[in-house]
Amino acid sequence: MNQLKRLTSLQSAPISPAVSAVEDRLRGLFRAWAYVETRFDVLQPARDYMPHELDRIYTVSDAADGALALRPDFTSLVAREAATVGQAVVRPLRRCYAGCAFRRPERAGEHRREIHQAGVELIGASGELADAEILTLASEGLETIGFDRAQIHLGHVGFVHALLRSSDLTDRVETSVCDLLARHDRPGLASLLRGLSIPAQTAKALVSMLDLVGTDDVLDRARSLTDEPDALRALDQLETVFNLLDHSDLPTPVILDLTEVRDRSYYTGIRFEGFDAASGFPVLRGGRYDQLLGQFGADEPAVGCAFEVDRIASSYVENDRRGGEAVLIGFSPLQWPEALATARGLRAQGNRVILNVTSLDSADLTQYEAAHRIDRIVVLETDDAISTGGGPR
Amino acid sequence: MIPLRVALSKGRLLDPALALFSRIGVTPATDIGRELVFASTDNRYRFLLVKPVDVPTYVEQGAADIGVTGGDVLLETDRDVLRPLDLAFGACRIVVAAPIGETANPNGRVRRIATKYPRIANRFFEAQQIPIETIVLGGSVELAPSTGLADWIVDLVETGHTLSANCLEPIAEIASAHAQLIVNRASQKIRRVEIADLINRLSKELPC
Repeated sequence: MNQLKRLTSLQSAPISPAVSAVEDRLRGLFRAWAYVETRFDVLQPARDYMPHELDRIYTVSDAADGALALRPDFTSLVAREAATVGQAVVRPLRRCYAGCAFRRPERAGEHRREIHQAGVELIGASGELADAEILTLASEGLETIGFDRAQIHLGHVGFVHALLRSSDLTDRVETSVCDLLARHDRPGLASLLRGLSIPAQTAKALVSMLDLVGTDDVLDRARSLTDEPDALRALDQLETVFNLLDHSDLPTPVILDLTEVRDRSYYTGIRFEGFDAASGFPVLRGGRYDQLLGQFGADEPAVGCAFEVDRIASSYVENDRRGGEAVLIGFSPLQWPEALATARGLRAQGNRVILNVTSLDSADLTQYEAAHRIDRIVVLETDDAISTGGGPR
Repeated sequence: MIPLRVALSKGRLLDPALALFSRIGVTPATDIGRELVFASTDNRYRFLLVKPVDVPTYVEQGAADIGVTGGDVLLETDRDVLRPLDLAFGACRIVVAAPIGETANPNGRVRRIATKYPRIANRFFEAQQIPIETIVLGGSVELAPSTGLADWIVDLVETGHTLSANCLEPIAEIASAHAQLIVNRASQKIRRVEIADLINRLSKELPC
């Protein structure tokens, strides 16, 4: 029973320390790129959200202010703030955030309601260089959190929109086509298209979209599928961004991917997702959303991305082993100054140092060492000689 | 190389799934017996044997890269997975079945439907604007009408023999489906070359 209690108490820990560790690393990166952190209240006026958004928003009521919403995301809050401050603040704005958003599960069986995110928004900047900045930052972010087998998949919603528009489908059929494309259901899509009276070339283009992923010839293959000016313009923009990244020696490879049709009503230009072999879910999403600020009265371009911190944190423990050792220093009360000096020296070398301020005995130390993944124990001897125990594991 | 993790359904789909993999040269390294996890002889695949209804969950959550599951399970569980290949075996229909010869609703009350597929049943009757009461069962659904537990059933039918043995007949078809190959969204991105190769090889073994 004691073992059961111990194990279950671990599961009821408030928030994994890895969440904070991931947030810290990303915050450091955002700061280095000169993004200013903005903090928002968890409770926001529910009237600020569109009626269709309220389906997935938790609301509470308040006698003074009426209906309040638990913030469902950060991007709309950053956009609203940018629109509110207006042009008084010189553009472009570089904003970042880290925290928890709350959303009702979309489907039965989904249990994720508190979504830890950290992200950046570049507001008031159009063009491929701004896109490239966000993608580079995304790539460095994945490296910062230790994902060394990650990939960023980059597409452009303009291509999908143009292809669908040229197909001249009814709204209902377009929804069905996009559902099948989103599931990569090639047999289902082929079957549906066979029953429609659309040109064979258009049907072929829609099915061929599922193959538009890779690096070398994806853009050429995409161009061969359509002569729609909007589609070709989207591909040109994508190529410019891709070429900028291709010459940037990014830590995370970028793959061209035009197979994604989800989120097409939100994004207006490039859109991308980050994946890592350690997680079965996207760990990063982003793209250009030039129409969002218009909802708040400011017609401005914007591009950004969000890291899925809780998804990342679930596979972060091993990554946290990077960047020096975890060292515990044992000392007597009289050795406090020496202990501090030793800790400073070790920290300056990039290690994480814990001071044994509770006078753990050797048995306790061993237990603490195992529980907190200590790499090395340094015990200050009474004659100031230092003995070390443990060792890198 | 890290093996691709393949979740296979225990039960009626297991033998045809293993046979299909065997036709492309992927065979278990050991006698499966009671093993729930086993590797292929070339060690490029690691198979997990799980309950049919759990296959989409394993794949959606990334505990498996790909899976073989029934179309009925996909309809019922509605998991966020990719469905690139219809495997052409395990054909089945999901039907509404009623006692043979039933012609009216004798006491005029809401029909009680026994099923293992509550979501499929509810969605179907909602679309038909027919109010129902759903009774969820784990198995032997065909017994429900004769024991008075339910009026009708919604169930999977392969040959129809079990229905007729229990004095039931189909009165409406909800869907027909085959076994499907499903893929985790992230795996499709990260391991797309291996997965595309597998899909290509498997599809060549399927009837046109």
